[in-house]
Amino acid sequence: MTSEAKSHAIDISSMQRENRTLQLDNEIHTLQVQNLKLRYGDKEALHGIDMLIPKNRVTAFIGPSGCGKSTLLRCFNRMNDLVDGCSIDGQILLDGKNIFDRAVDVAELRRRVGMVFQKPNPFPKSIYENVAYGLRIQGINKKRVLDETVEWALKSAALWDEVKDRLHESALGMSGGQQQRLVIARTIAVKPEVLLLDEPASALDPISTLKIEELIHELKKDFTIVIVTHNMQQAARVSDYTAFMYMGDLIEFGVTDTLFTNPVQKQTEDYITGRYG
Amino acid sequence: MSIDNSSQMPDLDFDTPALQRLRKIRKAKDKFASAGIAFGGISVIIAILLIFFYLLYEVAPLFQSAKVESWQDGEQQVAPYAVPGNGNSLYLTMEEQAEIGLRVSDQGDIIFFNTRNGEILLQQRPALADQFKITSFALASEASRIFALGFENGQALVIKHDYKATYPDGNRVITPYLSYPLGDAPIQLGDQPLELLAVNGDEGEWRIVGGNEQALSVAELILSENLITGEVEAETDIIALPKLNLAANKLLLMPDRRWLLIDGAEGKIGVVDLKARNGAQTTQVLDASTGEITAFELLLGGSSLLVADDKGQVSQWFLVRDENNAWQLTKIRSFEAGSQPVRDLTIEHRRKGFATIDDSGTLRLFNSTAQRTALTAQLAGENADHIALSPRANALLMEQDGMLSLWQVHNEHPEISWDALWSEIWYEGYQEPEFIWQSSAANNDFEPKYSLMPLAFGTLKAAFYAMLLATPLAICGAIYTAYFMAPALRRKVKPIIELMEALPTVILGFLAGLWLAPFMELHMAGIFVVLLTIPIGILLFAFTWAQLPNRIRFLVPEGWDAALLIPVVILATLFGLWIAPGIEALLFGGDMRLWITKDLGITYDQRNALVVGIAMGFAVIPTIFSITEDAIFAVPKSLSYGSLALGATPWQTLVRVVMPTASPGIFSAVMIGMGRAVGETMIVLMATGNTPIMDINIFEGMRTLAANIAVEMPESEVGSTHFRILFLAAFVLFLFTFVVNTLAETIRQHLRKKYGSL
Repeated sequence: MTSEAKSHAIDISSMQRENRTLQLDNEIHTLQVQNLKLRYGDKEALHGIDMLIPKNRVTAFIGPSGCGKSTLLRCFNRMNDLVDGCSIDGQILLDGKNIFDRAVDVAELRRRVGMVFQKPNPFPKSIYENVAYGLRIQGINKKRVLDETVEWALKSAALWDEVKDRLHESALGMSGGQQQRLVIARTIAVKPEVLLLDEPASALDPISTLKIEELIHELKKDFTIVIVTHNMQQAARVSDYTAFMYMGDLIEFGVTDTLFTNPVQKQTEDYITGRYG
Repeated sequence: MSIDNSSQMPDLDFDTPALQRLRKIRKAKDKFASAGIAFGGISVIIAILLIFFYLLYEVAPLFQSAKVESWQDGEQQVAPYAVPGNGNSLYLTMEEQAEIGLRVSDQGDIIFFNTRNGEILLQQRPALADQFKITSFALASEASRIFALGFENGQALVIKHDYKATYPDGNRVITPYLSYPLGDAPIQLGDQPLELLAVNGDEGEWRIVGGNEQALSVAELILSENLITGEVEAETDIIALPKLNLAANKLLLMPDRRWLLIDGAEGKIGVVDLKARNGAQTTQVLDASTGEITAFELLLGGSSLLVADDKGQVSQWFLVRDENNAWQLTKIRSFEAGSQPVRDLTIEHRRKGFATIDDSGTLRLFNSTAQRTALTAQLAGENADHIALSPRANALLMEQDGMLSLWQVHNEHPEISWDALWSEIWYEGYQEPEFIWQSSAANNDFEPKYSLMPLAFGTLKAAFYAMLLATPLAICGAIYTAYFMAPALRRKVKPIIELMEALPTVILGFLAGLWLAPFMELHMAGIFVVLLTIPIGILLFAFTWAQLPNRIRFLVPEGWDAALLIPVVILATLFGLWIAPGIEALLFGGDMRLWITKDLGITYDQRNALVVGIAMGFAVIPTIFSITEDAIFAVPKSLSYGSLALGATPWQTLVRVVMPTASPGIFSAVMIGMGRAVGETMIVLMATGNTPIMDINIFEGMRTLAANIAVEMPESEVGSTHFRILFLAAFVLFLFTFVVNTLAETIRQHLRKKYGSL
């Protein structure tokens, strides 16, 4: 793939036109959530979610604070395992296999389902080593392979031109927006199938946010993307499908255009028109 | 809509006098606080500098060079005066206060005189000297104040010069007198003139060797005091010695009365063993000099021989046992003494030092142990004949051209040189050069051994074994606690380990020295078996646990599994101690401690580095643990989540992200632990046995710098060399921790810059 094609500006209206032709039933589904229940200690945070995440599309989770959208996102790569007292019922199928199965190697699952957090979290290493990290932990240490992958990942994350002269400087010297794109580059360097973005732009300024959004649009050609966002405009701009969650339930899930212009559920309508949230 | 008055913005005036005053007070408080903090900080720095300078102030005199100047009595400079009495001087010396001098002339006059002006205080002459010429003179030792005169009729007279101090009217008056320790009667050694004479002995037994090159005799005297009259009676036994094979100028008898040293012509030295199995025989004839020997004296203690020659060479010799167990007089070291012929050599009465004067009138002060020339000073023109040092080595008497002059000598610490502190030194009575710390002994004439190497080595050895135990345990424990343990358990474990730090080290030292050391000696095998059973037990348990069905495993909340190990460790320990006797009987013949000593040939001390390693490791663990745990726990969770989300296992995340990020903290933890181990006093004092040996053997003890200061400071004389060396040891310790801490801080800052977390 050529990276030069990625850096040109994106026509947002064309993205929306494209959305109209979408139909959930026609998609290939990377992830299938089946009756997923999640409890933190005694408190149930997700009450039986069923949904399908389409391949090579951007799926946005929206909803008011505490509705469970980040919790659901974290289920996809089992980051909830790290939370004390968290127990899960039901299953999530990745390419038809339950990710909660005992036989599943969690580390391998997380490689296949990458995640970018709200706050940029580059490692205190050089830019190069940050991107190469995922490969190194997989045991890939050949310099040529690393060089190529680092370049590809940085180009894919639209960061190459800005950092190619200081690859071996600390990543901590970068701006917040650059750091977040570096984290995205780091995540895609291990070629995941799914990219989970947990409010990736909420800590960034508008220009960096725009860059991230353009990036998401470019990346969906290669990855299945799930994004959690507070920002409904952002969801409308970047996503193909949107899920509205409320109090641990999936209220409505559908093509983004339809959900925003013609919601089926009253709760959805109330939320997107700003009555609460 | 009308606005309710109650919700109107309240009328606030920030410029009322009261508030203005408050603002001023607030500002003053702020200033006061910053001044207070600055004062505190600067005080700490000043305090440390003061300690530093105080140590330097106490240490500095060690390295001052010696000084010699004309004697001053008040403002009055003491001028040279004519030598009291007649004839040539055989011997010159002074009493303790350097007020009274003694001169023995070849006419037989024994003259006590005032050292300031030459006034004769007492002049005596043995009756024998009126009839017969004096043909020889021998000094037993400066410290004993006993000398002997040999006469042409073959008789020898042993004389002691002594002093009595009285205080009439509160003024000190010193009265000199002579006594005859072997009785008034001269000892007949033959009928030939005594051209050669040597004497030595102690309270009850004496030997006098006298005669000439052709015939030498030994008189053995056993003294007994008559209980009724109080008179000393001597039982004398005369033995003839075989003929010497070399020309002899002077004889010296060593204090053990076994070895006779002969100053031969043409730079030769002869050694005669008087107690050899087949009667006395010459064991060695050595070439000591290419010229003629001009001075031939025994150093303080009488075990070292000093030889000076007309080439300006001065060398020290003593007897060393060779591989055939035979004693060989060996040249130990030589001294820088210029190139002029040495005219006279006099030894110090209380230290292993001596002074020489050469043809050009240059005085040199030496210390033999330190191989150091403390002073080189041009005192006189040519023809300086004799020099003598006072017992305190603070005064020097010099005879030149029939005139005597008195000099003041400042030479407080000649024993110290860089080599004496840090290099191998060949001490008297040792087979080879060694690093030895021995600051005191039962007798006064011993050679102080001030090598700091065994102490520095002991310090590092103790710290090394302590760190060997503490570092892995503390760091691994901290990693587990911070990274894997359930928060609820962590909240209990951390304070408990930190509580260990509050345990007074004297209790640890007490337990280590009085309980652990004997226990370990008794249960040697048990300790080693336990060292194996605990890790094996833990691994076995972990493996079994992993095989158990989830049903059982999930009974234990995540992160609490460590608690399950407590009974495992206890059981493994008991099991290890239980099977140890069997293993000991099977492999080590029933006693491992004996096996180590006998079969392996390793020395085993009850208080050894293993005990110290465990006890001090125990003391250091909380420090390292606490700081490391904090450092690891402070690594942002976002970093480890980021790594886990990339597909890293928890272990990879720990090793590649968490540990590097926490590395500045871990590094300072280890360094602070190291500093603690190096400076720790009580534990090493009580559990090491305090033997200053240099051996890496884990079963032997050591003495550390800190413990050495604690042990010896109370017994050292203020202002003495020993006292100052202890300060030097403190200074070395201070410098050591200072350098280590500075280095650690620099590296930490560097690491922090590199791995600074978000």
